[in-house]
Amino acid sequence: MRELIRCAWRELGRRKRRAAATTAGFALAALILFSVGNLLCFSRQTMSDILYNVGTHIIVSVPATGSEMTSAASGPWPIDSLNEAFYSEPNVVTQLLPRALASELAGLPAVLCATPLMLYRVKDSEKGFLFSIAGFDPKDKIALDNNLCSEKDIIAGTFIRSGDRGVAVVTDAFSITTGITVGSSVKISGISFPVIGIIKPGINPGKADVFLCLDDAVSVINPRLRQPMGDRVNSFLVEVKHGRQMEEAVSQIRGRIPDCLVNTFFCSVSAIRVLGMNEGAVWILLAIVLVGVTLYAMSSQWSSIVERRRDIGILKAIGWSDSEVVWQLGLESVIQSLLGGSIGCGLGFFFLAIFPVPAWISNSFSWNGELAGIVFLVGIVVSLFCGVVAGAVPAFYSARQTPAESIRSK
Amino acid sequence: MGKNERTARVILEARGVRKTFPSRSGGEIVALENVDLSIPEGLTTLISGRSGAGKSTLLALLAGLDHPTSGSITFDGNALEKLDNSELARLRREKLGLVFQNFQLLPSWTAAENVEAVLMHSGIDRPARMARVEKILAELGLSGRFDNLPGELSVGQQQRVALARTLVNDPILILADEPTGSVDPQTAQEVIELLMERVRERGTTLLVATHGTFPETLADRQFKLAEGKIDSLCKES
Repeated sequence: MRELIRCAWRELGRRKRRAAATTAGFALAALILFSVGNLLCFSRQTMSDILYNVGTHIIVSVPATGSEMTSAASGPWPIDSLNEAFYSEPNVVTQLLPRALASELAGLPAVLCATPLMLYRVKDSEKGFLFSIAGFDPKDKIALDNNLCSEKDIIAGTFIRSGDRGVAVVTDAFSITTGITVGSSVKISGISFPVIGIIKPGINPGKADVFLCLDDAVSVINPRLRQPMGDRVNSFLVEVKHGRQMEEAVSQIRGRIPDCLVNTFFCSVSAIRVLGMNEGAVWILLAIVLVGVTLYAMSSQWSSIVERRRDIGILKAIGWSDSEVVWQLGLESVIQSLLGGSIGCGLGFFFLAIFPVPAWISNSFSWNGELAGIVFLVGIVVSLFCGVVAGAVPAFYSARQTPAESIRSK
Repeated sequence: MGKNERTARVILEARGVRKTFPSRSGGEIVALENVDLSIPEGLTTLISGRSGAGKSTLLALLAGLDHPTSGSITFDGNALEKLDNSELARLRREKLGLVFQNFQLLPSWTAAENVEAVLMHSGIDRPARMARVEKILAELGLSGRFDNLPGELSVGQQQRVALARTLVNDPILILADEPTGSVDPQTAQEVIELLMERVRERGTTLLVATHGTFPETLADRQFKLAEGKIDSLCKES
């Protein structure tokens, strides 16, 4: 093998221009591969970021049946059942479920985390208008973030922190219609809650007008029920591990709570489709580049073999076997592809060092252009693969000819 | 050992060899027709004939460089048609020396590399290989020309490099196709002397195809080939 490598290297040295051109082709391919590979990394990361923001949030509840609501003379049902209700969507009245279910949901394979949530529609006893209350646990930030509200939604004042009690946050719409601002208070069931912040929540599955700590919400809702609700809530906020696992997560949740209502925008489905198209385009581009470079290298190697057809015939005539000829020609291609792949990937790193990722990209997405060594390795391995393919076809063709045929050729 | 004893064994034999090539018109060109030939060990045999008589085709078949359309060829007890390409290559590498028309040196390889190429895959380590290469080149008067490309050598020197390549593996049979066809008479004389000297020294069997440039007096046996057929045995010692 050492002899063949030495011979292949020597042969490349004898055909410097052709070898340089072929190596440059591989280098260009590796550079493109490197760039496209990074683009793919970037695409994957941004996709993950986008999916996190649009498509991994669910509210789980169980709708109450009509008979439960009308026949319940007792139980944790609103006294004013015409106006007040536990709800998950504006017109869906829900049952109460044990709070402990949150940890069971959090344990499902496709679920990242889950937190209990209370959503209750209230009639203002003084002015008679309806509004809604959300009771949540402020420490479960991830589950709350894009499902209900979080600190990022604050437009005035501050958000409720873990451990806060007796305070409220209201939406900007509620603030406008009621005239309640930061510093004033909202009165529910005779209890006044100072408003510490106003939020402008995005399009989240969970909606309410007034936000309280879960225990505060329980304390204002219980007096409005026929019986106290106990350690129960009417819904759960669930964060799925990844947008791609949305349907899997929904299926797992339905497996645990068969009658449940899963409220999500399923933005992830369209997002995955659109982003998948984007990634698909990158893969197609990559495939075109690789096929192009392989054909170029094959053409170059082919020309080299055609030029040397007589030489190959002579070598076979003096005792070189077909396999030795194939190895020799294949090694030439391998050397060129390895060299070209290393140069291309090296140049990729060099350019990335000179032209770092713009701040707007690294600020917008959690990707700063840092590359894993695997990209370099993949670039070289793919380049090598193309080299083997490009070298093997002409080499086998050449080996198939008899020495006499090769020597006779001009 | 006398000549008659040495000729007892047939080292190369062709039986009913036919070779055709496809023609452009879709038919076939018959290059060789029913060739029977026996080459005894240790003798010099001449196959003479005009250009196009089929001499080069016959030598290519005898060397296993091409396959006959029909018939069989046996070299040193091996039926060539039963050997695969790698076995044929091994046979050529170990037992056969070829002198080509127009030398057929590799133009981008130095004189030493051209000769070394024969031994490259013979399992001999490089220092030993190079020692053999340098020795044979020196014997043929090419001491200072190891690193010259063929293009940098005279025609006579090129032919000597080709001869060194033929002899370096110490073959038992040398097939020479017009060995002096491309050189001037003086160089031809030198090449013939060098070749015959080595052949006599080592008792090597030599088969020469020529259209008249190789002296008939040096041959022990002579066949005439005409229009692809062995026309006659002109001489037998």
